[in-house]
Parts: sequence; structure tokens; C-alpha cells
Amino acid sequence: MPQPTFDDLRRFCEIDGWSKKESARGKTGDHDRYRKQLADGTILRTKASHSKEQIGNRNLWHHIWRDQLGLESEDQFWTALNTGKPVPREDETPRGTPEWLIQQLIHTVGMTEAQALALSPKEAIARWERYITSPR
Amino acid sequence: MSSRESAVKPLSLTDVRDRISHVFSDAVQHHRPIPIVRGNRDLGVLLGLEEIARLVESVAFHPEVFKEKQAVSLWLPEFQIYGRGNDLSAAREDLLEEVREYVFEYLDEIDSYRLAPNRRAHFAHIIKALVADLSGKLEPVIFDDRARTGAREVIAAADVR
Repeated sequence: MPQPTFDDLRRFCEIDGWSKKESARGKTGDHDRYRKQLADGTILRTKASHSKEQIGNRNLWHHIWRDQLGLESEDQFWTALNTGKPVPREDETPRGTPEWLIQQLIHTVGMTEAQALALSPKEAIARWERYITSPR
Repeated sequence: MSSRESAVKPLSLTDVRDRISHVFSDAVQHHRPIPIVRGNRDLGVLLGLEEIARLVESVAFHPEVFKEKQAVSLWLPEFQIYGRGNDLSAAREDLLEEVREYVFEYLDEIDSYRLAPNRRAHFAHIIKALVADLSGKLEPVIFDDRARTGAREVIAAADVR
């Protein structure tokens, strides 16, 4: 399998629905930062250098696709790039909204229980992400 | 008194507010943990930086070096982040920046990170890195723990012989 470039990594993040994130400390760096939160609360983070270089070490690449991108195999990365479709991460069985997220929407965001329960898991995550990234 | 009464009675927030300078000195200069309660429910403990450092003394980082054709990378398994540069020194610098970025982000978004299944176990290392950074010792804490431990083991082995 070929070694990916940082451009490949950036394109993967766009296809797989990751959010591009500014540096938390407001610094401009040599990287683009990406983040994705899964339905169970898992937070995935990665960065892609502005250079178009290859990620030239197989062991580092292994850590990136497994630990940062949260993939089960390297194939999933290339399949997403080749098909332009996001990685199917969810179980076949539809999952509910995590209970902690409902609690946060009610007690931190200030929604009523009925409003929080009316959201789909994806909407609940989007609402929570909007809350935690908005200036307070 | 009830058997449920704690050994050290927490100070109320009002008491702390009235003599904050004394309470702070007690914690930081006299190394005494100060339990503080607000109402009957919210309980916290004021600790000096030195005491927190002692609590996380056994927490260590184990960066791994990967050589690329024209770059060097350092992977930090405890946070699942890496630094990269043209040489080892630049990669170390980049990793330190990544650690600071991660610590800041983790604490800034603690509500999400402390509950994330793949992040909640990072908390002890976050505190270790935070305390090290506040003390100006982030670099030796990230890069030297293993070297020091290794050196101690070598010395211990030599002593046995």
C-alpha cells in the first residue's frame, strides 16, 4: 500500500466529515487541525502539515490511522479516498444518544428534557459541539 | 458526632473568601490540603503545585522516535499526538507545542474530554503536563522520565554486581 501524503490526510478528513479546528490557544501553526466526535463520545483528533510531503514512516502512519483516525484497518482510509464516501463507523443497529450527552444538553446548555430527547443522536452531538465551541 | 463526619472539616466558601491570603499560604507554603465546601454539595480541595506534582510523580511519558527520509517524528502514546520536524530537536519542539495545545484543549473542553471513552484516562497525564509546564519543566518531564528511570536501573544493576 502507498504511503499517504498530508494532502491525502486532509482530503480524508473532508470526506469523512471531520471539523477543521483552529488552534485552541489561538496560535497559527504549520498544520491544519481536524476533529471528529463519534456517537459514543469518542473524540478523534489529527493534524495535517501544510507541506505536501509523504508521511514517510510506516509505524507513525500506523499510529495515525489507528489511534488518531480511529480506523480498524488502513484499507478504510484508501477506500474513503477512492470512493469519496465516509467510513462506516456506526453499528448496524441504530444507537441512541449517550445519556451523558442528554444530561449536558439539559443541565449545561439549558434545554428542556423534551427538547433534548427530541434530537437525533447526530443532532444532539451537533448541538453540544455548537455550544462548546461558541464564545461564552 | 456522626460517624460520617470527615477527619478534616471543610472550610465554607465564605470562610475562604474572608481569609483567602491565609488559606492560600496554608495550602501552598505549608503544604496543607484545604477542603472547601459550597453549600452542602460542592466539595473541592485546594492543593499547592508541589503537592499535585507529588501525586502524579509516578505518571510518566514514553515518546517514540520515528525516522523518515527527510524528517523525524516523535509519537507520544499517552496523548496519541506527534511532533515532526527536520531533525530531532525540531521534532521535540513541535511535540512540546502539541502537548501544550492538547492540555489547553482538554481543560478548555473538560465537559467533553472527561467523558470521552478514549480520552478520560488521559487526565492524570494532563495534570502531570500542566504542573510541569507551570513549573517550567515540561521538556524534561516529557523527554527524560524514561531516560532517568533507565539510568537508575543501570546504576542499580551495577550496584548489585
